Amino acid sequence: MTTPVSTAPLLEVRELRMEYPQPGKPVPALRLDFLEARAGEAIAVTGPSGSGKTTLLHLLAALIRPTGGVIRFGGRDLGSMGTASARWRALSVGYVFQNMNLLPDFSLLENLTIAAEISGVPRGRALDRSRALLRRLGLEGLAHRRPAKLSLGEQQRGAVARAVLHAPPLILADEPTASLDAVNAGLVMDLLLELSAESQSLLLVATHDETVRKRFSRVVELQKAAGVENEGE
Amino acid sequence: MRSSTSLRIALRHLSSRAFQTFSVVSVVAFSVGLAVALFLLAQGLRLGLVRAVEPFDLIVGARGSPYQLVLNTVFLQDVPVGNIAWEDCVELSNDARVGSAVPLGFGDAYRGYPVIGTTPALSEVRVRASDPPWLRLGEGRWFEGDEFEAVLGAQAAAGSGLRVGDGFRTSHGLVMGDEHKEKYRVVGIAETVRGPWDRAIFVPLGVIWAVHKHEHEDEHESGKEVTAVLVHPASWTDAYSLAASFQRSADKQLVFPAQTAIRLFSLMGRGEAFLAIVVYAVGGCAVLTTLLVLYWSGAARSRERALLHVLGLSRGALVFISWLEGTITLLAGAFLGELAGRAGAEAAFALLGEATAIEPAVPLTLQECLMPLALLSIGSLSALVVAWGDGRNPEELLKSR
Repeated sequence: MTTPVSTAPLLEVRELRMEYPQPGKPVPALRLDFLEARAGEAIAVTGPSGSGKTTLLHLLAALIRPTGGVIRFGGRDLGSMGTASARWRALSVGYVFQNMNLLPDFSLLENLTIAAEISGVPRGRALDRSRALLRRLGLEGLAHRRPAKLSLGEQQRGAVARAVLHAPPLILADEPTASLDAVNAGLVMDLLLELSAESQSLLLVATHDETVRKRFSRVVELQKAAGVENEGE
Repeated sequence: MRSSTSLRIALRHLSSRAFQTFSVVSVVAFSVGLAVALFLLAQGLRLGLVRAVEPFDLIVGARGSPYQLVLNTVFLQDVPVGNIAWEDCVELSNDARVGSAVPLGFGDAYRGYPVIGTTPALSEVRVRASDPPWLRLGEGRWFEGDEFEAVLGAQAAAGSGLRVGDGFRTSHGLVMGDEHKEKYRVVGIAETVRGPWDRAIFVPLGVIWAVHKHEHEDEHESGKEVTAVLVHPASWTDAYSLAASFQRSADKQLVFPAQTAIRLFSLMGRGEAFLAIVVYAVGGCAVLTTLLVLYWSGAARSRERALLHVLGLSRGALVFISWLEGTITLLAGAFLGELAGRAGAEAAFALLGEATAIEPAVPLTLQECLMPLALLSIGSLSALVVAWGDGRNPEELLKSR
């Protein structure tokens, strides 16, 4: 898929290392020496289990701090943000998990508005935007249903809607189609690529699904505890 | 994020586990309600007892239990200790140490309302010299001479349905039956004194004697007896002097009803201290229950907490939401408990009022709110601690996804 991209790198990764502390010896979880990406780019992150795909996404969302190296996003060092990371994440990141994406006690519409409110959008505007997006995605009729009353595909499309609602510059998706059938997986990927392109967001999708991988012009392949980047086709 | 969003999330969490929330609120409400009701009952009883005792400086009656004399004369409960001769009352009236002596004769009743034989001097009794008369008429007049006329206490009038001008027959003793043939006419109805004497029916003492003449002729030369004499001393020095005189009496006693009430308060105090321990133990259990539910609920919501963290909520915001859940639960329980405690106490007061005419209404005081406030403060602070240390950090929670 071809999307217009800006020239200055939005994301810069240098000598990134992540180890989890264990009694005796730390366990290496990720090694990535170099990565640059620009706004509007869509990148697939692949690699075998244990290669650090999820860890990379957590690092990029500033949910955890790297044990070595540097991650800069928009010129800002994510490793040194400390308590400001939550606020930065609310404004700058949209995140889609494999499953259990929606808050179970809230309706689909509320899931969207709460996320928007957390990112600082006033409630009234958050409601308007959420309704408009759900309408566009054909989910308007399900707006007041709780996640338990939605199919997995509907839940995942709702999660995508929530991730892109506030047009964040960075959208991260961790195996977003792993729990879905082929039709729903296609729909979810269409949405992710289309909506991130519209908002000129940088999209990184961690996947081990070859069908999904093929939809990306750029692929970052992680090796188990090695972190070798291979630019794809 | 605005606080209103946190509040909405917390309220939704609570409503989603409605049964759990209802159970915890009920436990808190029960403990607070119990504490408030017991406090109000104790305070109300104290106030009611003090108000009931106030007009009775000294009581002279037959020797026997001083408690029984006070219970019978002041609270119109129990049976009289016995009678003393009318001459004793006259002697007291003529004593220089006595400001006023009002004779009281008990024994008859109308539909359970005690009939008190007395004199119009009763209408002059005052709690303090500067106060208006204690027993004032709401309508009609006081009885005159030894006619079969009666003045009804406020509750006796309301309960019996008698009005000024109506007639009624009394019976001997408090149990209905054995009715006297003479008929009294209601000539006045007293204003409420918010005490046991609202249940009384006042008639001339001379009429009581006339009705019972045949029963007492052999006991005293005059056949005239009184059950008690309400004595207002000329001064407090005179009161103690009188008390000393009566200590030597073989068949009479003088009691200070206030002292008797103080002894009653002391007995009540011991019971209250034990009840207070029970109440605070129940309150402690309520706080513990709230905290346990908060902890379990936090653990059960680890995935949601992680999700909210990914959406951009800081750990502080997550702690605030958990704390809000605990505090809202405690607040609702404390508020409902306060209402339930008040309602329970009012119901008990109503029952008590019907039986004794003690009307112990208690205004809302800070002291009454201390237990709910203490429970709320301790619980809320503990909820903060539980919320803060609630399981693992959000980062740790993400690993479990």
